[in-house]
Amino acid sequence: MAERELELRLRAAVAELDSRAPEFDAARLGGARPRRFRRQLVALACIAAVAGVAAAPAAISALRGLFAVDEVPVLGPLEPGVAPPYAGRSVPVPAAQDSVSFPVRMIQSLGAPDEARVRDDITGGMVTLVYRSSGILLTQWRTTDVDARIALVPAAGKAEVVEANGRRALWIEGAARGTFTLVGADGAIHRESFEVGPGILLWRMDAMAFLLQGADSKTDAARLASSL
Amino acid sequence: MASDLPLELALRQAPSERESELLARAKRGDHEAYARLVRPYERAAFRVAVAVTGRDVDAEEAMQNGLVKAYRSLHRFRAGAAFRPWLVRIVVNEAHNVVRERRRHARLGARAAEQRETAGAGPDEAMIARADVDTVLDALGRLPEPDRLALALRYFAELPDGEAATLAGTSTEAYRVRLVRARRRLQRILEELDG
Repeated sequence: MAERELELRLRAAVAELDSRAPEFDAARLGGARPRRFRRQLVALACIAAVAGVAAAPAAISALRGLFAVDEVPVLGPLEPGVAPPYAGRSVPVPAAQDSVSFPVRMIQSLGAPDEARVRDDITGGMVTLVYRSSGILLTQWRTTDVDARIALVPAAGKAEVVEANGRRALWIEGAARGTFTLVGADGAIHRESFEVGPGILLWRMDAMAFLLQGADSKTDAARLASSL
Repeated sequence: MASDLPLELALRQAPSERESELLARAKRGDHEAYARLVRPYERAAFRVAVAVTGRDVDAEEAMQNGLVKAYRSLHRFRAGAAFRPWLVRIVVNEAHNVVRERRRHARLGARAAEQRETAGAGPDEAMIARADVDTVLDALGRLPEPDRLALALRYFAELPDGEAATLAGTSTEAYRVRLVRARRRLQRILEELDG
């Protein structure tokens, strides 16, 4: 096919798509108004100043216990050197515990998981439990062995601290991507991505970190996290 | 600096006083002003969303949601900057969200029914055009994500290379190289599909 023909077909596609394009439905804006982020920040800074330093240590320690979130203008393609998501090899659920050195936690309210995936190819190991009927994935790892970071596009996603079983957890939804930094079987440091959309819950408990994927809402996620 | 845009497109993208006026009103919460502000960009937003999602119904959702999110984020828009790439960026992100959501539903076995809107039976030329655009979209869908995005930003969003490169998270030169490679791959796939 000639270059010229390709151009023509792409331009024809543009014209055809234009004939299908809907108009923006302004009714979707409802009662919304553009956010006034800077003013809110100033207001929060003022409140913090009035509250005084006594409140600061608790707030700082609470945030330090969570996960790093980097604001980025756009997600774009995966960075060079970052591997796509990989949950690990499938094993029978009872065998998952034998594959790692930490106690594997399950979501009691969902019953027994349908499948377990283990990463015994990385230092410390990682386990993902699959609850097929509810579409929930629960991944767990030692906080000392694997680091998780989130890249978030603020205009199209959000990060929110929520409470799950009395602990602070981080709910992420929208345009975001997670990256694990871990040590592979070759002894080298590797980076691997993990999916965030439509929402994930991350939290720490007893030197372990947990990632819950597939919940319909942050409330649902927090309820499941409380059932470990 | 020489623009890499055709003159007509460059003129269309030049920020006008009218646009800045609509923007100011939209920032104050005027919905009608916002709807008028985004009207010239609706088609580009829809096209690029189709390129990312591959389906009209998903593209419409991504476009509508993206434009609502853009409205809520107007405070982040820098005065004097080009509105089109800013808007396209939000719609592309939203389209990726829709694709992820769709994959998740597919995994759960709740595959959404195909809802492609079809107009009534039209003349043969229109049917052929629809069939060919579906072939082109099918071919685009078989490309690696970076290639598909590169082509969508050039042909569907009509962004100049510099802005498309920024949006794709790469340099202008790397974007142009990717574009050449993507075009070649698309040609090959179309040749296969055409038989």
